[in-house]
Amino acid sequence: MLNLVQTEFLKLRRKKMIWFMLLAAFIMPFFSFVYYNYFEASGIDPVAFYKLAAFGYTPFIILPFVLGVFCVVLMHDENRYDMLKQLWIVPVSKMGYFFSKFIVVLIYSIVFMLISAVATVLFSVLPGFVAFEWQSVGFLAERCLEIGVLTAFAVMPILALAASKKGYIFPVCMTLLYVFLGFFITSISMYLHPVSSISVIITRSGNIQGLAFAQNINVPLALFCIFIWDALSVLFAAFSLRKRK
Amino acid sequence: MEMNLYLLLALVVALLVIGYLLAKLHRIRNQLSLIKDALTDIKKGNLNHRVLARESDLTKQICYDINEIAMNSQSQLIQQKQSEQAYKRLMTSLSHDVKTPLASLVGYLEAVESKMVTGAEQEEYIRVATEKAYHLKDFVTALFEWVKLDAGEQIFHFELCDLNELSRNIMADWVPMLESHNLSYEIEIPETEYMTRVDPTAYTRILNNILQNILTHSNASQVSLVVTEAEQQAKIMVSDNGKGISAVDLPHIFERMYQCDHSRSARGNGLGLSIAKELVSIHKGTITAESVPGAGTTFTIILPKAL
Amino acid sequence: MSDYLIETKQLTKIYGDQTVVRDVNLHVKKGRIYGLLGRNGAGKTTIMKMILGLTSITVGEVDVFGHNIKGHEKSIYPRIGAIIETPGFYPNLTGTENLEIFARLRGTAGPNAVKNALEVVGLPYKDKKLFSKYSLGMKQRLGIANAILHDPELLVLDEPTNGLDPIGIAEMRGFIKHLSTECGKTILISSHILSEIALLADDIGIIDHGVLLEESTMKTLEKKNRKYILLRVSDISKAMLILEQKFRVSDFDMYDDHTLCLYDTSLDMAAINKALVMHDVSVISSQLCNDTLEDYFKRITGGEGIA
Repeated sequence: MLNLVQTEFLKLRRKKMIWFMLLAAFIMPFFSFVYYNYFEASGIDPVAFYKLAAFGYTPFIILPFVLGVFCVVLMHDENRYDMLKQLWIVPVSKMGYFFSKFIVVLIYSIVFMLISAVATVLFSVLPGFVAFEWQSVGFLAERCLEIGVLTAFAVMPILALAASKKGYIFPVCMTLLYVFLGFFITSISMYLHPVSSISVIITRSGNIQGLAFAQNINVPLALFCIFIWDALSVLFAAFSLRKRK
Repeated sequence: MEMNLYLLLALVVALLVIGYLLAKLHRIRNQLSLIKDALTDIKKGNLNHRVLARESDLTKQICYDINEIAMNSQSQLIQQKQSEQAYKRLMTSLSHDVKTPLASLVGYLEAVESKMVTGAEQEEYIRVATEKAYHLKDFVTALFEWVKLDAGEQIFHFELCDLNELSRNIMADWVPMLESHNLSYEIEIPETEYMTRVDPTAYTRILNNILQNILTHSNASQVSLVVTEAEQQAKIMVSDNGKGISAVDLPHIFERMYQCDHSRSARGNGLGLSIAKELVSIHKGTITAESVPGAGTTFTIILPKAL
Repeated sequence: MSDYLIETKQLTKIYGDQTVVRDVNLHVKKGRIYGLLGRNGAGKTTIMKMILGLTSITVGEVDVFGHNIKGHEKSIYPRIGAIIETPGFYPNLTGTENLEIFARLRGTAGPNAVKNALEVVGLPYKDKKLFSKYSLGMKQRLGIANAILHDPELLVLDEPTNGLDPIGIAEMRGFIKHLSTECGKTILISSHILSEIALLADDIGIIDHGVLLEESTMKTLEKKNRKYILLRVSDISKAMLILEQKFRVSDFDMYDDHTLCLYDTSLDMAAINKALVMHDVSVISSQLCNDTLEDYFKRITGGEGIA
């Protein structure tokens, strides 16, 4: 498995796109900087800044979309150039293949969120909006890690879909749909979609104000929602990879 | 609370390490069972079986060594089989190439003996029979020479001599022969001395065989021999303007018993060029042929100055 | 264990209501080159895919190394090298990097495997050129390099000369031949070009519309591919004499002690028979053999011929 993951990284050599996508981690911190700069604020509550910079649109829209595209990038070449049969006769097991891709997505997701956290700290401390203190930065880092890990799990359906299709347009469209669905379905129930479930988990202790929800916070239920989606994705991936041969 | 967090972290790290070690152990067990299977198979005689190892495997060196041993014995075995096959081929072609002319020879002699023919016709028959007998003799001589070379039993006497002088002498012997076959010739050999370590007899044989080949097969009207020298090697080019050799045949002309006219008509024995090649390679040189069908053939021999 | 490295039993593949492969029993013997010959779309690729377990089998069985691949993937796949259709690689990596990925996944049989494999197929090692910039011929070569990277016992090559220029084809042929004779590999190769298979294969299977029409050794087939007259006579020496003297024919061979093989099929056999009988040589039989492989395949595939 370690071997498989290592080769996955080798396969990504010279793919500039994945580096560009990491820049998306700076969008929200920068936007927050512009926003607070406009109001010439100083000495604001760090959590309020973090909320906008790291816990808002980043986990809800930007990261899922970036990861969705990343999944498609991971799967696309092998599908398009018909390389899978060369891998199967190595032999690489179909599930080993799928999970090694997933681990790469997981690592990428964590790196993305860590960059996002660092950017947030930079954009908040350097202009002097908030004072630097270990406790709030630690809180930010810990939550960003959580977001990174959980979002990787949340995009597993996209990974499974990308594994089953040859083209890239359909999976990318499905990614958009999936992300916006997560956005809109929240008003009905938080526990239907993995992305909104993540918001529930990161706001569990109630110390991020301003993110108000229609339902009560129920962490196990949120985890259960993600688990169900992932289990279904794994089954779907197993089925489609077996069928594709 | 703080304490617990650190404990938890330590636990996670410990679990990861244990997981890694277990995976490693699992991999080694798998490798060992593959090695066992491969060894059983190799023991049974399948020397092609390889055990694959990754760069990170602990068993890497063992696997590579097993493979190397198997590979070496495999190539030895194949060489052995090939020389056996070559020997068998030699025997069949020997019996074949000797039997056909011999049977035909017997036919002529019987005809003479049973008085089937008389007078001038009888003399003609005897002449044909003698020719056939000589041809047969030449063939057998050449064949033995080839076998000796092939088996590495021929002893060579390398000596330092002037390649130009040697070539001139050989060509001098050939001139009457060429003239009697109405071949015009062009010989370009530098006047200078060029000292090379060669076996004069073998060198003579090489040129003789090539020229003989041109004489018998090419239908040429002109032959040329050009010797050029460089610091390290001498180049000897023998060309004719004959019918040439087709691209299909060209790669095979130095093979033993290969004859371009597949009919095995009486002329030639299919050994001359093969012997020439063998002799050139003993001088650590190379021999190549280029040909344009219909326009002629050029044989190029390259001999290194020092062996 | 049987001598067959690959054996298929009643192999059948049905896509929807179309039978692509029907009741194919292939037998690939150890250490030989098996040529699968058939027109495009005859089912060659499907058969190879089924053998490799890359597509499901509707009916029948495949044994590779005496086992069913299913359940033995880990021990069987590493012993096979394959190219199916045009092999794909990662376009953003160089040839060397691509091979390194496979070397890492599969493990290798010895150090410097990637370098050696590239050398064998004539591609540069550590070249900067990306796979996406490769020509079709280079891609095909890289495919071969990948197939031999782990020094497998069995090679399954689906149309390996596709997209190569004539020189490339000749090189590939020489290379495949080398793998078989010098390394003792077993090779299953498919092609739609008769001459390709005829030059390479030891055994041959002819596929048409998914049905294996014939399976035999190349030797048997080659015997059917010569033009000659077999003449069985009572006294072979005398017959030779008469042929030489009366008909000026020297283009013959002794087939066995009583049979002559005449390569000139335009001879007037009636006159020859008459002359032989007049000289007390009884002609037991005379038989014209002219069937080219081409004709043979035309007949066997029902008149349409191959390629």
